Amino acid sequence: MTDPLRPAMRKPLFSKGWVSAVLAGHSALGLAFSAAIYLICLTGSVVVFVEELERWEQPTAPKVVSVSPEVIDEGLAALREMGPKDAVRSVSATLPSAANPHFVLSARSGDRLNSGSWFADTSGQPVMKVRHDVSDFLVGLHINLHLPYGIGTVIVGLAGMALLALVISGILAHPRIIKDAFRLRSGGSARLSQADLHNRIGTWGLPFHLIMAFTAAFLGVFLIALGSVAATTYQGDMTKAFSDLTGPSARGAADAPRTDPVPPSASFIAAATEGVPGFTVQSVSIQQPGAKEQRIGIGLHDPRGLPLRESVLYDSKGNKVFGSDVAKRSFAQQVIFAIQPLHFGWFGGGFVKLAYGLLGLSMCSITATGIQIWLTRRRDKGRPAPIMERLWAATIWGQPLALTLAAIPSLATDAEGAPLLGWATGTIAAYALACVPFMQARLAAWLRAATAVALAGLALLHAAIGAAGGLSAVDPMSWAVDAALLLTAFFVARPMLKFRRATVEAPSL
Amino acid sequence: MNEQIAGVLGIAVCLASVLMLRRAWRDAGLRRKLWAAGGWLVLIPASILIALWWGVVVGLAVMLLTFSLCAMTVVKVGEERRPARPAKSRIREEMGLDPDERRRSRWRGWARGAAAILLTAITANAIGAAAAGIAPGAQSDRFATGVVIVPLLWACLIIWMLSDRVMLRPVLSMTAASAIAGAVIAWTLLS
Repeated sequence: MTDPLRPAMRKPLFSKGWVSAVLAGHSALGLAFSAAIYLICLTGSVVVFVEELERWEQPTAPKVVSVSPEVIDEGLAALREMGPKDAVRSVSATLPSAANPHFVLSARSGDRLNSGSWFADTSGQPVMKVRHDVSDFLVGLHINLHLPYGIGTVIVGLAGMALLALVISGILAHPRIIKDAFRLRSGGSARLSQADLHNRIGTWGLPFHLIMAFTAAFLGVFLIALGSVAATTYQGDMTKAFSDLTGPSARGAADAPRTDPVPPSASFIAAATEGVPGFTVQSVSIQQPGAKEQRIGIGLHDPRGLPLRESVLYDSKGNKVFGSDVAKRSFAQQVIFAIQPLHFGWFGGGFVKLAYGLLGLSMCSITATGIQIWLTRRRDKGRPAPIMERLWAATIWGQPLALTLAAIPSLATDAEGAPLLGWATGTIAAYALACVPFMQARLAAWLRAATAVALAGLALLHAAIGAAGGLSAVDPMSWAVDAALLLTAFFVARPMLKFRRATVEAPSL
Repeated sequence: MNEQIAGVLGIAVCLASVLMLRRAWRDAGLRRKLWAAGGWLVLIPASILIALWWGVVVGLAVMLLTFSLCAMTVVKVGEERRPARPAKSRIREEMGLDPDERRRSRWRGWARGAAAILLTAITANAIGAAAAGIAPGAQSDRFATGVVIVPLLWACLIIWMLSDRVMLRPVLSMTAASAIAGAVIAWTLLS
């Protein structure tokens, strides 16, 4: 009689030898890049919420709900007045939005002192320098591991490429993908439990993992691919290739005298928003302000669209020089414009960000279980690797601790290097503990406990500092982030609390 | 219908889809096929409802995200807890395949790794550039198609290089492909 849970065997699509070979490649790639991929996925899961973290870092930044074109012009003029006008390369104003109720003015100048970003008040005057040391640190760790630019970006680019290869090879090496689709076994064989968790998360998270891996690989190797493909399509002119996508740059006018007036933004905003109902104005920028070839850029956002922004560029006489017009471009070009929002999760509001955060953690889980499967297989075959086991435990639980410690020093000091110092302290401490043999069984639990304590401590300390300055002055998002940190601390500590309750309740012999 | 209510309803329909697919997984025969077909088809109204709130393109992305989260939740809820020491024969049967055990040689490992990074990079970029150079269409479209294809091709070549038991096969094939692509690039630039 046929067992309903075991249908009749069909000829497999791929031979066992083929699957084993792909699995070997998958395994080798995972081993080589696991630590980098884990750190990149973990920081990625956090920086999905970078807008919220930035509000948490400066909870008393002036809140602005909306600004008029005249206020924008006041703000941009104030930026130009800060230093020598000839040195100013660009000024921009980022308008308030529902996700970020701040009016931010940014300047890029040859003079470093007058470069940066400021929060502006309702009259357009810069009142507070933007300092997002912790968020900037986390983003930097994600995009180049805080290594020197060439080295870090290459490693992260290769890790993105490896991730894409791992996702594709993972599908090819999983012939039981349908048969085991909903099977999750725990408590018995460690290797079986880890394999089930690894494969189930990999199967059901596939759309997200594939999109993340592809966009990561694309962003990581974009410059290399741009250079290669531009060689044959644009005869090597990478600037032309780039400007066809993003618009022409006014960099050539960097040394031109700044004698022309900067036109008011109202007419440019009106022209850009004409014919695009539902689009909101996101930013106003001026490249080489005051130069004859200055360019006025208007950034628009479609709340129901995928691209981060639609850009329209004008010359100072009001002639349209460039429009991104994403919807009118070919499919391949639209894919390029969709890469960044799909990777960052900056579309669709809070629900999408939350989904990205959770699924990003699922990628961390897949990476963690992948190495654990390899380590358990070695142990089962009589070739244990205890040092590797401790080092991997130090990676999985040391990094959440290190990221939390990165945020703590900035509560007390303005030093730019404070987050890096905090992170380095946590990382070194975790790997130092991993060098001690007697930590074999306890390392993961200790680091996990330390992470929970650090998260709770960070949340309570930050909330206390915010409350001391006056409750009404604090951005409500700051309280929400503190609550999220406490909730995360609870979930990190929960398995250990359940274990302790089980041992306490066990009958004594 | 209020857009937000439609969106929430769409999320609920996604969950229903996952539950139907799980029912199909546990069932057999014709009922299995019917539940499976129903589970996948129900994603169409789910997508429509979600699109009413988020728009078509963003709505599709939201539907995929929701589907994944619902599926992972259903898998977790249906977790099978086993005794601490299961029979070894059962583990062997359920574990599935192991990776190839290959002849160990340090130089082969390093050579394969270097080829997986360098040779695949050269081949993928060369093929992408050559294809973009000779493809029909506007300059910007050929460029966009080329830069999108390169990472996908590169990843597939990495898998091949690391998986093939006979290392020489992908090495020779990629070298030949790079040479041909190089010739096409030269012809494109010179003509």
